[in-house]
Amino acid sequence: MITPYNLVRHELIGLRCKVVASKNKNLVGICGTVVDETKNMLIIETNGREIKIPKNVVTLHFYLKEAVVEVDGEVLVARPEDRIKKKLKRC
Amino acid sequence: MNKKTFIDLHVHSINSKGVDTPTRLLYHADQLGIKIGLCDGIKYDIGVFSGIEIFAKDKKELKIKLKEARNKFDYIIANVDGIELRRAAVENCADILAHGEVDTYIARKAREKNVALEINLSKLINADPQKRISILRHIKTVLMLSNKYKFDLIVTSGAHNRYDLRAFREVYELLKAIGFSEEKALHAMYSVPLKIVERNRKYIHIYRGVRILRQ
Repeated sequence: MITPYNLVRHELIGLRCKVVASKNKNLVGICGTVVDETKNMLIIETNGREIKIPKNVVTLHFYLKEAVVEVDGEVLVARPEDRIKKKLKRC
Repeated sequence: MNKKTFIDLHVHSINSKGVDTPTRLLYHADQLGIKIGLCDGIKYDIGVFSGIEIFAKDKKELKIKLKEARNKFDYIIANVDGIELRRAAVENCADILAHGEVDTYIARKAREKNVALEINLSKLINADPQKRISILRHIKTVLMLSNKYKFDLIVTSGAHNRYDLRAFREVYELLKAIGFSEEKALHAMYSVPLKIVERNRKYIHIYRGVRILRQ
């Protein structure tokens, strides 16, 4: 089951997310569902169109059932199959 | 908080190294028109910010104490000696690195990890005249590094009793005399402390780069 603690290692396709901060101001506010993922990009569907978001320049909110999790995109930079074995440093 | 004021996050009450009770300190802070945070390691609900000051002798102890304090307090001050321990404190994401040695590695990492470096006015005010010169020189070095590497500076009074608390105007004019610009002084006195407290109150930190929004 997806939780805030395993979100970074979890499958992201199908999750609702929103870009809350970015180096590119045009990306801020984009909200939708993740439909695809590559090593450096997230493809988010919003209002019937697909937008490619680079991971390393954004901060995302992922909306889970029990919580909203804020994730720095840099943490997600990896191929989806490599992310499951990624080691995360504690704060 | 509508009006910019001085938010002093390094104040000790009788519950740690201080002399006065938290309510007395709060009363005097209100009289001076400032906001205070008590770094006693206790959660208060009397209208002050609650923080903790961490001391450690080695990296392992520092990591353990930071991990235990994370998500429990509004801010964490890492007060460690030695350049290696201070680097470790910055790498492990303490909120504030106490007044002390700074090098270019700490400066770069502080920017990257959003760690604020403290300028403790009690070290300057209570120092011997001879030592005051070297402390002033150190503060100017830290200011120069902050301007170059763009990390946050935070100014505190280091108060152990109500008479050590400083009003906004006193601190502001002192910082300007040392060499701070108006904007930098206000940033260090108000914006940075507020940002640290709001960040910790807003989020529960799980891993680096992953946070849960508090409901």
